[in-house]
Amino acid sequence: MSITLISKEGAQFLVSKPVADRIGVVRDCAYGADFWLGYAVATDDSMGITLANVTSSILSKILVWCEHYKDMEPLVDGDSNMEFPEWDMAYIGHDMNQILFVLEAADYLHIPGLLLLACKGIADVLDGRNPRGICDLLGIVMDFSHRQEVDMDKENGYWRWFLHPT
Amino acid sequence: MKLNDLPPELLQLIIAFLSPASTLAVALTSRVLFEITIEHLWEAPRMLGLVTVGDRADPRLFRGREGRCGWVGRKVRRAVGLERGEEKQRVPLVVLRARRFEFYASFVRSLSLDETQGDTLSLEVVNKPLQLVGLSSLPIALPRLHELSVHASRASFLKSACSLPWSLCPSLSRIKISVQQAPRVQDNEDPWPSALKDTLAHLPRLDELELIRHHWRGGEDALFDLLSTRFGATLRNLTVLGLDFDMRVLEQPLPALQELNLMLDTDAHVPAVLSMHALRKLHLHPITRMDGSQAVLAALDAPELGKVGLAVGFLSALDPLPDEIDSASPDPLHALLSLLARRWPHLVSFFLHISGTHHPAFQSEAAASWPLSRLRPLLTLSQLKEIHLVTPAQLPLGDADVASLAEAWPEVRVLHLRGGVVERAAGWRALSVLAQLPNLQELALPIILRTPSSPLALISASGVDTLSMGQGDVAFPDHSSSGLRALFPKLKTLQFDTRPGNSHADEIQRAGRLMRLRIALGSEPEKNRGERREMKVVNPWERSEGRIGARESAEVGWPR
Repeated sequence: MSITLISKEGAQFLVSKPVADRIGVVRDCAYGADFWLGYAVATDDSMGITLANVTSSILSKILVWCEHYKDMEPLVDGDSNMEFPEWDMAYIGHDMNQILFVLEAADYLHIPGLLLLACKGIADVLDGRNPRGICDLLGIVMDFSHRQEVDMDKENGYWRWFLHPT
Repeated sequence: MKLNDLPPELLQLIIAFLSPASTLAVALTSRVLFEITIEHLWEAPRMLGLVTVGDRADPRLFRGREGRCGWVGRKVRRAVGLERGEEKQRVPLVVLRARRFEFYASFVRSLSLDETQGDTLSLEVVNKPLQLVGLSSLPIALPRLHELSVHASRASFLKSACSLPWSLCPSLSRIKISVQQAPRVQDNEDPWPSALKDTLAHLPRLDELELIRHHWRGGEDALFDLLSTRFGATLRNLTVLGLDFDMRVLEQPLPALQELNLMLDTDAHVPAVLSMHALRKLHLHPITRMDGSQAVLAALDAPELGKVGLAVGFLSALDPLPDEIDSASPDPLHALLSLLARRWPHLVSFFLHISGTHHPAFQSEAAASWPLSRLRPLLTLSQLKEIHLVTPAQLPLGDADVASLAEAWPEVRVLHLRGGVVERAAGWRALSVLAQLPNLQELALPIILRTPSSPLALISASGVDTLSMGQGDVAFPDHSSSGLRALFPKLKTLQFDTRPGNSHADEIQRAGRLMRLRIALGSEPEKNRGERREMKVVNPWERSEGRIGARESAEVGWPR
């Protein structure tokens, strides 16, 4: 059994049931209905499910993740110290722009495992950079003056003061 | 697409993955991100940082030109009611700082008052800003506080921390108190034992209590009276370390207790029946004798108990005395294990850790030995998932013994049998049997590999990723690696014990052989797997973390 997914550009993706099950929205569309209506709407459809907010390139990337996790359970909950498998980290990469799109799409499609992975990917890219570097990376216009930045840094870096109380 | 376009809840999720330093860097980029990030920054501050928050920043932040005021400064000035610039001089700087303290304190979710970390003064310092903003006490300034932990060793600090009206925090759901006897305190600063009772009575609830002192000298019953009547419904975790603790006070009902840590040596103070129906974890710390532990295990009525740990100070506690070996006196180790197996046949996790060898030292260098016949009661615990036996005694477990172990524990996930190695040790056959266990992940066993590879060519899907060979040996390191790889395809870490302090030439050669095995395993060409393997050398004696709290057993160290 397979389901057709249609991206924003109209490209069609034929995916099998275990892969589609990873995508919460598709799962609800295709199989959630039989809970309410008594029959499944899209079990044998030729229409497909349109995902209007996801572009083809991002959808194909997301389907790679779903394909990898079709048999095993991804990490969905845990604290900020949780460690993802190496495959996941290689999959998400370091391209900030792409991760942001994946994050937005994972939120829209309701894929909690991928959502956390994308957050972790962004945090990894941001880690170890100074404010100027983050502004350059993200194209944010810095609206603090240098003086303000120094003051805020002094005020909120309490742990730094605690480590080096000079 | 930009980061700022994301909804705030997604931004908060991202920020939760950042380190404090990176969080601050993100906060300093723009006002939008600052507003989202600052809550996370002040979730669990150090008390000292919270109290002195205004002092370290540039005072010009408040007094300078309008353009220099930060976002917080503006918020603070609005809270004070300052609108125009000329009114600034009217409001003293301390009030502004106090407002700022109030602002940051409203984000705090978890607070730790640790005397050893320099929080001693903070409770005196904190009252000044609180008075200035019109709050009567610290808990009112912490509306989001979720978890409170107090670590104290002096009575005055404990008293000032506990007597605050914590019941005014609406969302406080976890209080941890830890009281540790300091090496040198004046008599009037000693929190034990009656002062402790009066102090704890102020708290609205109590979830975890840790009491560490050298010797108990009476007074426990009043304290446990209070624990049972006031905090019986919430107290989940109790740790009592110290010699001569009167265990009869535990007869009073503690219905919510789930984890219990006890130090005891003799059975002098053990009651006949101990009823704890919610207990799940039990840790005992005997030092030189086992009769106290025996009595507790016999008296305990705990149907839910799944995890038992014993951290024994000296090996001699589990060994029959040398002049009694021939007589019919019971073997303490065998008696303990059979009692355990009889009382809780559904035990999930068992932990036995021995710190030192003999006390007092024997005249002869008679090395203790734990053959399978002494461990046999453990084989009836068929649901064990974690087993840790860390002992300086020798573990003469041959291939047949290991096979019977593997048969007895089909669901085992962590198998740690760390002991001295003798001529009769496990080899290839034992490894190939263990490789058939489906759930096994961590394996530590003294192994001697005398032949280059396994005599049985079995296809294995073993999930073992950590293998510790203990004080084992390998005869043909370069050839054995492929055999190990075939048995344990997911192996990532190979450890061995280098026997610290032993500098014999054969020891150095043995370490060299094991190093070569490790290198041969690491440099294996990767054909089927894309994952990178890391081979680490870790000394397991340093890593075996025992829950020894006693000064006596902590001083012992490992046998040299």
